Amino acid sequence: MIELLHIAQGIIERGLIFGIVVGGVYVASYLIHFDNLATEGAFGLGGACTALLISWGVNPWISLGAAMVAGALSGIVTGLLHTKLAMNNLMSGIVVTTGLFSIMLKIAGSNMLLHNKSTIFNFIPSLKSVSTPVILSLLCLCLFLAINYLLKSEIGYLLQAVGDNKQMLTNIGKNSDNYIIFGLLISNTCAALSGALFVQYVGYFSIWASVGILIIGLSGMILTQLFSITFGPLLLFGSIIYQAIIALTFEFQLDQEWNKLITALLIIILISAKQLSEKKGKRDSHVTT
Amino acid sequence: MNPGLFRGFLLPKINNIKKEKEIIMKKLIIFFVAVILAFILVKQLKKNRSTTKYTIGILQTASHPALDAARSGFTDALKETFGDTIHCIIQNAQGSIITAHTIAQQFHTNPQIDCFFTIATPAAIALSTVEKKRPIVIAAVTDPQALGLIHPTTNVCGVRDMINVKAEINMLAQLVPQAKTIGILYTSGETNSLTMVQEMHKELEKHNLISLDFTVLNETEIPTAVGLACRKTDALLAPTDNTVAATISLISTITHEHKKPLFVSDNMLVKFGALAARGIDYKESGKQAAAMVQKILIGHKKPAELSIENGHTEKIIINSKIARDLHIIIPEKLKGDLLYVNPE
Repeated sequence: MIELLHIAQGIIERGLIFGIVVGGVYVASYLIHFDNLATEGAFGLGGACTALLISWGVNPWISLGAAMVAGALSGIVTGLLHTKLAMNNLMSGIVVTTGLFSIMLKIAGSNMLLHNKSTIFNFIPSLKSVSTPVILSLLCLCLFLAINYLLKSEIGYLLQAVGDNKQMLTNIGKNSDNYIIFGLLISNTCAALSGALFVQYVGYFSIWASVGILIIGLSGMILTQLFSITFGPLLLFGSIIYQAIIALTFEFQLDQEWNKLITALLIIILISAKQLSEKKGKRDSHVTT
Repeated sequence: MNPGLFRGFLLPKINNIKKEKEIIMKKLIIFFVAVILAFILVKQLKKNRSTTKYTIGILQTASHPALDAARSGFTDALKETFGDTIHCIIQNAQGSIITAHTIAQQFHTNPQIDCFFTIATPAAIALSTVEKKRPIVIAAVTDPQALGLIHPTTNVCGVRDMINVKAEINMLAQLVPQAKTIGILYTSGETNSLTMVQEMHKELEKHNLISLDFTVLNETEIPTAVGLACRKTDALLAPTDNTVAATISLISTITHEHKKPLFVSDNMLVKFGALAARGIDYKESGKQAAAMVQKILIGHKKPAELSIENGHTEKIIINSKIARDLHIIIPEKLKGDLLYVNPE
């Protein structure tokens, strides 16, 4: 049973870290309807920045901040490419991710091990296994509450309008371009923070670690939407659920070449269960009226 | 305005939000219970399998010929030594660092595993940062020193796949003496390739050969890079690089078209169309690793004692058809170490 607890801890920790990417993907894809392919680049950039700074002995919390700033910059660049150069959504993201690969290589090389440098998790080495989930949960909750608060303000409202009804913005005299850039800024900052946390969590930076992060973000978001379509800490749960599915796949220990198919099937089962329960709900309400 | 009317308007809305939250909570709880039950079920099913004495956890970085060969060499040699008393749990990260870390963590939480075997650098890093106690045997890692895995209290030992670059370049100079410029093909961002490439630059300089680097990011860039290399250089050379291994048939087709010799560092790739290699046989690396596992589990040796062995790199593998097509003359002094292969 202790084993299950450890596995659960791993799932929750990973789920929280990637849940931040899910939040960023939500703001970009769902709110401003901009499928942000720069997420992968920003994730890696955040990781590279934090790896470099930590290797220099900089305070790990400051390195997180630096990673977020780097992510914000990449978000602004993506936004500018789209708004000022009229580049297609997807292309802006692709261009940024491609360019960032070289920048990441220059910053941290293809691989950088943190060895025993201090991260936000190991300030008391013996407590690491307890402090990690606690710090992660607090960090994620704070971040999500902050973004939630932002979304409920005027800026957030206008952000949602950019995706649904751009005309409204021009009607009230606001520049929708700025809000697109702002949305991408939030999205990439989240991705960069997630990347930085991942590097501090696993203890090393790898240039290839950001491959596939967009899929993790999108899957987490869609799985959350099985439960609710509003923004909130629920997105963290979606991410945790996705990690649980992947972990379950590995627990089956079947021929490892089938693993990806098993993951796909588990997700299909999950989503069809929701569709079935929705249909049943509709039928029930139909009967009672 | 009658306040009662207003309240009557607001109340159903508040109730709806409350009900929505309740439904979400219920769904979440049902879901989590289902997942926990699923895990418990799977764990129980797997528990009944402990009829074997030893369990090995194998973490392979990606699916491609060299790494697959290392794994099969390992499992075959284990079967010979241990027979039925050993059970291998094989997992593959399919090239994803995140998956490698996930698998490493789950291996770490599995108390039944006695020893680990990792294939290629990402797997080695992932598992060694998570698992500090149980022995880890690594293979297909070019520079374990740079990864900080070698120190007196380490739990890591294994087989390095660094080739004897000096000997390889010697072979190259002898097989194609008329070549002046050599193009080196590798993936930018692959640490093991970079280490080898730096050595290659040094050795090529010693032979007064000019070296040009041709780097790719992934498999889609290979045709362009190889085409360019064929036009600008007299021969191509590739270190042990994952992208090169995965696209070897494509690369050899292009080099054959341009009639340029292709040298590789992975012996298995020669039969796919390279001219020659004096490099690593990954299947042998797997066998060496299995021998280490035997010393650890049965001989009760510590990984720190076994440390890192070099792979065997004495053989030269030559593709007979390519050698004929390119009119290569094999000098007498190489003939002793040679092994001819026929193309696939």
